Amino acid sequence: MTTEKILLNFDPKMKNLLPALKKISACFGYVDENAAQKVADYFFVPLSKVFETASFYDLIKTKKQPSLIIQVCSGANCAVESAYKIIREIENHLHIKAGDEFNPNVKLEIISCLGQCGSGPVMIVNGNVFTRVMASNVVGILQGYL
Amino acid sequence: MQIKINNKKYKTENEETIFGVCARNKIKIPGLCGMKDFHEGVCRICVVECGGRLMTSCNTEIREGMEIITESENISRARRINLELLWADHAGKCATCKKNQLCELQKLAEEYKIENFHFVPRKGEMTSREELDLVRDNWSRVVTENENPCVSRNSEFCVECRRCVNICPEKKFGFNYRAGDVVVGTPYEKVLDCGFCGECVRVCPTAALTDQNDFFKIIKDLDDLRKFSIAILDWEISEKIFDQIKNITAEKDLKKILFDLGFEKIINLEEKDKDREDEIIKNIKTDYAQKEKINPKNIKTFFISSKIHKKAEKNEHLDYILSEREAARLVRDKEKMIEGKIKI
Amino acid sequence: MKNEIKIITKNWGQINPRRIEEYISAGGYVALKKFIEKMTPQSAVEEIKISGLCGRGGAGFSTGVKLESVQKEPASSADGEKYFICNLDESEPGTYKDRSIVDNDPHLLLEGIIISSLIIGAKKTFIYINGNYRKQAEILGQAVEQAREKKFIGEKILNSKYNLDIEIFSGAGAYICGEETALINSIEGNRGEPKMRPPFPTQCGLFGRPTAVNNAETIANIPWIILNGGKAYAKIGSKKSPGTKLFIINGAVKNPCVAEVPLGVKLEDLIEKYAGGMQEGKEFWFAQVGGSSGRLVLQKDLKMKMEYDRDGKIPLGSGAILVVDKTMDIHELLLSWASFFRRESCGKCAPCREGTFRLYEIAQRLKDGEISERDKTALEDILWTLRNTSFCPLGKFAATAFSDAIEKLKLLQKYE
Repeated sequence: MTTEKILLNFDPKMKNLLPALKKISACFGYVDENAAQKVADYFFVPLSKVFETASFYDLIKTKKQPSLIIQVCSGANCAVESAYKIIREIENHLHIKAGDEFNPNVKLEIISCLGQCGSGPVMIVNGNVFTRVMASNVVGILQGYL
Repeated sequence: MQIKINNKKYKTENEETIFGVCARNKIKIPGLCGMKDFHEGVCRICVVECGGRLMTSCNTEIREGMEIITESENISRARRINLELLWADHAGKCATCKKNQLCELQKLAEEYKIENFHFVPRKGEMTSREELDLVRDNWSRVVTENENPCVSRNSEFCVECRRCVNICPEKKFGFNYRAGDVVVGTPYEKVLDCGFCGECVRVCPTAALTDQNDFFKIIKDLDDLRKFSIAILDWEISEKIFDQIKNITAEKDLKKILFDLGFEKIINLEEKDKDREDEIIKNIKTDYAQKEKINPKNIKTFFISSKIHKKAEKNEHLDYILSEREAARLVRDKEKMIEGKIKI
Repeated sequence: MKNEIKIITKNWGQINPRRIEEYISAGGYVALKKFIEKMTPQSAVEEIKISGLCGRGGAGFSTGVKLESVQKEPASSADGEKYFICNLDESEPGTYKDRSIVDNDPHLLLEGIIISSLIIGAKKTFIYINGNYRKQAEILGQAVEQAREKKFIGEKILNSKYNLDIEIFSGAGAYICGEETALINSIEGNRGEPKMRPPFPTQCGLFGRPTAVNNAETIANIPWIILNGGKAYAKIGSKKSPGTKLFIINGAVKNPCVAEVPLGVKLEDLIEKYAGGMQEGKEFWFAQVGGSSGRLVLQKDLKMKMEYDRDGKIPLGSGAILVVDKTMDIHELLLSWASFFRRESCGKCAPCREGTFRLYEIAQRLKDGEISERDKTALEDILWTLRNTSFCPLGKFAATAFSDAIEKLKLLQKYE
């Protein structure tokens, strides 16, 4: 798959800018400068505009992502179900800090609600959703990805 | 339409904003994000009161029968807190800042008496984790760039007013990322590469965007008695200079000001010279070398002009290009030196 | 429970949401037929106005009035285009009612969307769905295809003069896009920042055309109103805001659930009757009504009625109810609220961008028990400016729960 091929699926109308960026990000892990320039040319907008839009949304990445991404919801419902304990558990286990971008291999992100509040706390590892996570089984879940 | 501002009646036209009417009637309302004809309504400092509610004056259109108050306890509280929030996120190193005394944020902070950072913990109060977080945070968000020849960028000073985003004719800047991570800058933190019209530097209220310069070299050359410094003033630049320095010096004679700065000779370009300035500048050094019998190497030429893209075209005939802002900086530092505030 | 009126959940668990035939045999798309055959857009909007239906997304604005203003908007633009947008962004923490509607009965929502679009004279409709709801987007996509085959969508719907195209637009992860002007910005390919109002979207919305943006749950009520009339709907539930509402009850209750209950119900009953009461051994502390931007309700106010009321003390918001018991570490909850808004503020206006950031820092210090005297005034100042000077409601919401926690739970008392 190339950026050009992805773009061909979309009419160059402004309503397709966000879907196109999302698609590219999902396909390559992030939208790099090269791809962003192609999007800008295709939609006939300045590069700054493409980057402005892309960098705003959670589901579009503008930087290369580490191979392991752990996301934990800290919405009020998950917080009530001890999401912070889980975050601390991960921090301690992997020696990282939530939100840091210093480690090139792994990143722990605190994210907003995914609408899974009935079965919190919710944790996502590389796109796989785990519900009703308990601090005691965090290490077990991570084991499968390390 | 007719409205009341501070209990006085005013006639207004259709589609005017509160800010517009106030400006027309010389009622002062502070603001940081707006420009002459364009208001984003994002700094929330131009708030006024109408019907007991605070609203931004810059982007609220007049409605019949509005009763507006421009100064009240709530208004000044709102302005003070919002300024203070911006101030807390701002580098706050005024004494050494390029824009000291030329900065809009600083001016407002002085007006609203914002002296300390009450949103940021002081050194003694910080636990080690917080200190680390603060440093980390500042590091991850600041973008500085001095690699292009004309515009010096430092997002540490940025107040996210979006003026540069809106004014840039080439749309080089964007309002990037979200929430507290917002950085105004180029996509992918690229080096700024454009026609360097200088509009962004002109509108920037703080020192986030400033002229790229060789300031210390300039001062050294100006102060060097062996060097013969020639200021070449672009057409219509003097008004712009006075606009910059009106709060700094009472002196009205530009010639005197420039001589005080250390220039030995002043050449004024006129309207008719507009298309041949390069040619004129090219001959200056040789002309004066003959006239004054000086080694051309000891002649320094300073072109004072808004055309900051020329900074990229320095050559043996032209040593420095200064914008009106940099000229103002020279004046400011000179004044300070006289007051004994800074020592060079 | 007996004699329960079910409008939105009547088919839940009864039909296969993947099959349009089952929805049709349960009486589906009859409202659409009735609208096309027996009603005009004007008479339909009149019914909706009579019904008293108001927006279920949080603001509680009259749906009939909103639809009517777009309907009446002259088609002044070159192409005479108007848009209808179904807001399914639903990213308020603790809220998953719209997701449940799609999961259980997507065609009910679709029927409501089609009718509403035809009422305002839109030929193009967007369903703006939360970017994380991938499965739901797929379900809706399938439903749209099925409805297209049955000629409920497309050219000459059911052989009438009406044409309508529906497109599913999947968001990209930003809470603020639930705000209608931000949502419009997002479809237009911009940053999802709120726009200045006026002009309101009903006059100048998506691509400058008149646009109605309605919450999914609101729209799901429309088929019932068309079928049974506005008067019948107005008799249900509370006088101030008639109809039923989906409540999402979570936290320290026995049976966390999504329940459809007539408005005007007491909060106490929601917790006791519908969610089975408190969990064994847990003692009620407070409930947060309306998601992370909602207010806190203490024991003494549990008898309050749940209804949309402009002057009401407790706005209903999205209908999410989080029950918190006394073992909860309130500082973690504060941190959760603060970090949510610190992350989700769009960054456009100074008080919200900087204020939510500082609020988060203070929440962290509170959690560490290291709050200084100056932090307390800072907190007060930030909450005040968020409430009074921020650009859009997000900034105001960011202050609500925090202010309530300080005021009602006497949070700062121990530092005095």
